[in-house]
Amino acid sequence: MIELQNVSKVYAGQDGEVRALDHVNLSIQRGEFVVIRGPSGSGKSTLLLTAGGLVRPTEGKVVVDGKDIYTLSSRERASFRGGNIGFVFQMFHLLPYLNVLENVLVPTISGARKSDRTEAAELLQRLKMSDRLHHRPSQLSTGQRQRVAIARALLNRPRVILADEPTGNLDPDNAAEVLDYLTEFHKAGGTVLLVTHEQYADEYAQRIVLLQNGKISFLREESLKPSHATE
Amino acid sequence: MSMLRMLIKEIAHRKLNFLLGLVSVAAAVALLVSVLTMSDASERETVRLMRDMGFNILIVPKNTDMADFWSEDFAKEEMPEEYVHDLANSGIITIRHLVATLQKKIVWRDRKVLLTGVLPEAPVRGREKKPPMGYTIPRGRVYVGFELARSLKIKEGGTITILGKDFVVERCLQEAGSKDDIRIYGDLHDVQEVLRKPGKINVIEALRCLCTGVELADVRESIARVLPNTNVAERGSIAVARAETRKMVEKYAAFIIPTVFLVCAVWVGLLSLSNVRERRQEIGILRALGFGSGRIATLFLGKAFLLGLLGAAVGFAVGTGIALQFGPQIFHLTAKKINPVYALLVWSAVGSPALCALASYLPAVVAITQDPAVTLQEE
Ligand SMILES: Nc1ncnc2c1ncn2[C@@H]1O[C@H](COP(=O)(O)OP(=O)(O)OP(=O)(O)O)[C@@H](O)[C@H]1O
Ligand SMILES: [Mg+2]
Repeated sequence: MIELQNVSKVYAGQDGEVRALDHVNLSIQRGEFVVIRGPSGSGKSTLLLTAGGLVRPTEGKVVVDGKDIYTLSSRERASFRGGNIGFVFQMFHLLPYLNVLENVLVPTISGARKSDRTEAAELLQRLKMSDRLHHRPSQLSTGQRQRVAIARALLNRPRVILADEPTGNLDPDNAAEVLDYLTEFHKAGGTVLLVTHEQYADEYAQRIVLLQNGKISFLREESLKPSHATE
Repeated sequence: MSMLRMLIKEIAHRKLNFLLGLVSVAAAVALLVSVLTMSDASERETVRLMRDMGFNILIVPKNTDMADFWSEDFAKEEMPEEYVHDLANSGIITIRHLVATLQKKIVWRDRKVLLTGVLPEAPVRGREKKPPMGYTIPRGRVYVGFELARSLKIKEGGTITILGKDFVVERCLQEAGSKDDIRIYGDLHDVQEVLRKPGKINVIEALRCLCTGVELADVRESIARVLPNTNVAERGSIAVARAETRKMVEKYAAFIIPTVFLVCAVWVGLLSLSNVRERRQEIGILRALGFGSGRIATLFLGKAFLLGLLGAAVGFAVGTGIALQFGPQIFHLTAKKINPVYALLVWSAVGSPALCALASYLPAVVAITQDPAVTLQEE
C-alpha cells in the first residue's frame, strides 16, 4: 500500500549536500509490520517522514494506494496524513499547554475526521491513562507521555503507524509496553513502520530493513529470527 | 477541542509573550482613543462656543478700507445683494450660516445709531439644515439695541419713526456690551428702502467651518472664487484660538499616532516571530497530525487577532479614562463635557485586530514554510 519508488532525498547542509536517501525502493503491504534499523544518520527518520508525506523527496515517488502523494496539494496531503497516518516520535512532541485529553484530541481540530471526547477517553483508558486525563505533559513520566502520544496517533483510526524510535527515551518495561501497543494495532489489521534499535522488536517484524548511508543495503523478508537473514 | 480553546490555552501557557504584545497594542489604542476623544469633545464645544460668539467671517466689498471698517464696524462701500445668493448657491463648504446686512451710521433722535438691515439667513445649497443664526425680522418691525431702548425709553410694542417710515418695536434686545447696543435691526429690504439703497448690502457675515484642515487662506480662496470683488476678514475670537489649539494637537497626533502604530506593529510582529520560533516543533507535529498550512496560519493569525481585540478593549478603556481625567487640562479653556466616544470602540475593535494580524503575517508565513524535516528532528 505504501510504495517508495526510486526515492532520493538530498539535504542542503552547511558542509555541502547530504544524501539522506539514495534511490530507495521499498514496497510495504497492507497489514505488514516492518522494522527499520541502521546506524545513526543513515536516513531512517528521513525515510519515515518521506513515506508519511511530510518530506518531499528530491527524486522518485511515494505512491500510496496507487496515488503519488506528492502530486497532491499540500492541503490534500495534510488531510491524507490526518486521516490515514499516525505518527509516533521519540520526543513524544506533546503540546505542553494542553492536558492529556486535549492532546489526544488535537487531530480532531484538523478536520480530518470527527472523533469525540468519549472515544479519546476510552483510548486513554486502554493505555492506562484514565487517571491522568487532566494532567499536563510536564506532570507525566516519559512512559506516560509516550502512551499519550500513541493515543493521539490512534485517535483518527489510522491505517498506518509510522513510529520513529518510540522507545528511544524509555526504560525497558515502558519500551516493551509501547511495542505491545504497536503489535496490538498490527494484529487489528494496521500497518506498522517502526524505526528502532530494540533487538526484540525483530520478533514482531515480518520484514527488517537495514539502512546504511541512505541505501537499503540489507533486507530480510518474512523472517521471525535474525538467523534467517537473507540478502 | 476547538481551535479557539487551543489558542486560549497557548496564550495562557506563554503569558509573557502575549502580555508584552497586549501592553503595546493597548497603549497604542489608548493613545489614539484619548486624543480622538478629547479632540472630539473639544470640537463639539468649540462649535457651540463659536455659535455663541457670533459670526467670525466678514465678507466686504473689495475696495473697502479695512482701517475704516474696523473703526466703524461696517463697510462704506456696497455690493449687490445677489452676492449672498451666489455664495449660498456655490456649494461652498468652508463657511456656513450666511447673513447679508446693510449697515449705516445715522443720526436719530440726536444720537448716532447703527441702522442694520438683516436678510434672513441664506440657506447654503445641499447642506443639512442647521438652526439659523442671525435675526429673522418681519417687514415693518425692528429690534432695538439695549442702550438705545434704555436711554430713549423705547418699549416693545411701541412705534418709532426712522427716516420717515414707521416701525413697530418687535423686541428690545438684551445688553450685549458692544456696538450692538446702539443698533436698530430691521429687515434688509426695509432698511434698503429708508436708506434709498435698493438691492445693496455692505457686509456678509458667516461662520467659518471648523473642519479640520480648513485654514483661513482656504476660506479666503473659496470665497474669492465665487465673489472676486470682495475681501474677507476674520474676527478673532476665543473659539478660533481653541480651534487652533486643537489643530495643533491634531497635527502632532497625526505624526505621533502613525509612528506609535508602526512601532507597535513591528513589536507585535517580532513577538509573533519569537512565538513561531518557540513553537517550531509544535508546528511540525501539527503538520504530522494533519494540519494544513491554512490551519497553521490560523493558529498564529488567530492569536494576533485575539491580541488585537483584547488590546482594543483595554486600550479603549484606558484611553477613555485618560481623556476624562486629563482632557480638561489639555483643552483647558472650556472643555468640560468629555464623554466616551463609543464609535472609537467599534473602530479599534475592527482596526486593531486587523493591524495585529497584518503584523503577524510574515511570522505566519515563516510558520507555514517551516520544514517538518528540520523541526521534528530538533532536540
Ligand atoms: N534538515 C536537515 N538538513 C540537513 N541535513 C539533514 C537534515 N535532516 C537530516 N539530515 C542529514 O541527513 C542524514 C540522515 O538523517 P536522518 O535523521 O534521517 O538519520 P537517522 O537515521 O534518523 O539518524 P538517527 O538514528 O540519529 O536518528 C544525516 O546525515 C543528517 O545529518
Ligand atoms: Mg532519526
